[in-house]
Amino acid sequence: MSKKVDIHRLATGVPGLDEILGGGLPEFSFNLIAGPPGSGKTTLAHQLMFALATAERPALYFTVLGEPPLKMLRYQQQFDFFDNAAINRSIRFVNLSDDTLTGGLDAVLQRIGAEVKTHSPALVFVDSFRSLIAVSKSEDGPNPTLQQFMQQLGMLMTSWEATTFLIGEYFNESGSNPVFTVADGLIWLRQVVQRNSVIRKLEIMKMRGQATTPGLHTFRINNAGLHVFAPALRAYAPGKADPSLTNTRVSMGIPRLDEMLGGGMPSGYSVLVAGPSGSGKSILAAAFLAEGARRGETGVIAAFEQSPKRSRSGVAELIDSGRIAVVENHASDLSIDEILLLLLTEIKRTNAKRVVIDSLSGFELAVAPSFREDFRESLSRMVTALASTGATVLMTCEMEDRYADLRFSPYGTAFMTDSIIVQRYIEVDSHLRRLIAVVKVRASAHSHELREFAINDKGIVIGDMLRDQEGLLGGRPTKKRGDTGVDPAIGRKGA
Amino acid sequence: MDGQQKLWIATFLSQRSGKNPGAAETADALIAAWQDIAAALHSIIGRQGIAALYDRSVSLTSRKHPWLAGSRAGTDNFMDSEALRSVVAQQNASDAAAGAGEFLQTFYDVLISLIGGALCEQLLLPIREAPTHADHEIRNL
Repeated sequence: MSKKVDIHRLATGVPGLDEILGGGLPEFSFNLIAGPPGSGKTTLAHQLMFALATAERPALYFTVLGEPPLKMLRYQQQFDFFDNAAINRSIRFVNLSDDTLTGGLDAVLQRIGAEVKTHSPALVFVDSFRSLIAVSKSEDGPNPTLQQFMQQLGMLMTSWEATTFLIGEYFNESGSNPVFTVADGLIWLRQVVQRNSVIRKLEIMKMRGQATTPGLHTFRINNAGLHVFAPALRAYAPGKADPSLTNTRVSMGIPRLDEMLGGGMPSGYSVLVAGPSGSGKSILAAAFLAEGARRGETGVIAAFEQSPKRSRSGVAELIDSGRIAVVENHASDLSIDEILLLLLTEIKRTNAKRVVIDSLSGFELAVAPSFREDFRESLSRMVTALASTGATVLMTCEMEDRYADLRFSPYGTAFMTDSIIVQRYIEVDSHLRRLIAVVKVRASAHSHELREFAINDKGIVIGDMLRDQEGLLGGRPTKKRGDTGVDPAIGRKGA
Repeated sequence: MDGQQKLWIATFLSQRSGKNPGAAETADALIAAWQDIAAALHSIIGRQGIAALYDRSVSLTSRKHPWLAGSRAGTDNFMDSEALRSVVAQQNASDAAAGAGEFLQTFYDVLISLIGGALCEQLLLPIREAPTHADHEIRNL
């Protein structure tokens, strides 16, 4: 007799939503889908309904005084989930406008009750519930029976074992509200407009009987409906670390760089390649991916600047042949979670061992303005999530040469990565020359040399230290006495 | 709109009016057909929604058949089917048949323009599949 009731959770069919809900929607729950106009409430309700309704689990969709039903059907059928064949079979629409106008809340409750008893729906939707409240207030001030109405409706639906959704326009969640009190679940949709970007966010403010993921979660609406971007650390369940990766090294595809790193990059590390524009960061990233492909490893590149398909460094051919997958998005309203989900999906799909983000600077521009305030925190979360996949992750970062100090990232992200490679320009004899150094390889010995490198048609060629120069980090080194300065590796004579 | 759909509307009306109907038979058939359609849609779009579509259809049809203009719904969205029956019955048989057929077709076209042919078909499926009075007569022969 002591066995607790087992709450069955319904899979919503909305990507990402079940994860945030903590496993799905509790069956027989009484929910409110709230938010301002245009936030996606009706679309979410329809998507849930078409995903959940079956002949054995039919749905009733009550429309009240909000959007005219014909317009609602006109627009909702544009979504992929809308199935004409389900109408009047597993899904029935019932218009309550006559009842609302003539009889108020009592008539509405009676009609809903009659329809529920006739059709025994497992799913009930009331859209827009907010307009019922407006009707109840229109006579002589606030209607004292609203709370009673809510309680009776909730009792009716629970008794008839119907999972219920009230859809309502609410602009803020403050203040006491009988609807909020009675509801088992409160799904709040928001949209934030900043400059020319619109970011949609969803919050599970309440869901009785289960632990949900707190906070605001971005979502997008496209032809398939809503797609919620659950936080990646929950969405991606990392497997056990591959024991073969332990203590293994990954070749960067640039021989002398591997040597500087102490024998290659430790597998599964994250590495930041920082340097000024044109210094060769993308070429280094391409070499890293190409080397992986040469060894039979797949890679993923997230490109936010130049399209990798137009790359002349061999990456385009590897993309064409399917050895490198591309996550490319030039929208200006991305969320970090959305990009991360795209990346993790591709990593999982291709079993990628190497990941490149080129560049963090472009990525920062691609995310919507409202996310830039939290960019550093989000980046930290992204690095952690990508590291959990076991892939070696290389991120490029554009950084102006500052000769008064030595910086590796404009975001203060240097501490997040396991390794840092920096590229710089120096002026020698009225020529711009390039230097490369390994600044950090966590828990590993590495070179501390500043080496000159050149870029030719084969890519990056790393030479030796400029032993005849001193003061390199100041940008304008001076020549030491008694040194010829000839570098046999890159075939150039120093100043 | 394909030929099949046009044919269905014509058949839908003729099944109810029989062969060579007079204006009164056409009027009765139109009201019967209309009531079936309204019943199929009432639950979904409500009385007001039906009245609005009816009014729009009368408005469009009366450009060619001005005598239909008198049967428009009132400002309270009350649709007087007796007024429609009366105005059709007052025409000669040919005009009544043409006007009634065109009115139903126009209503159907307006509905399709709003929600598409596939959903329109789905919503009206119950009356398409329901046996008509004529079907009963054929089966009872």
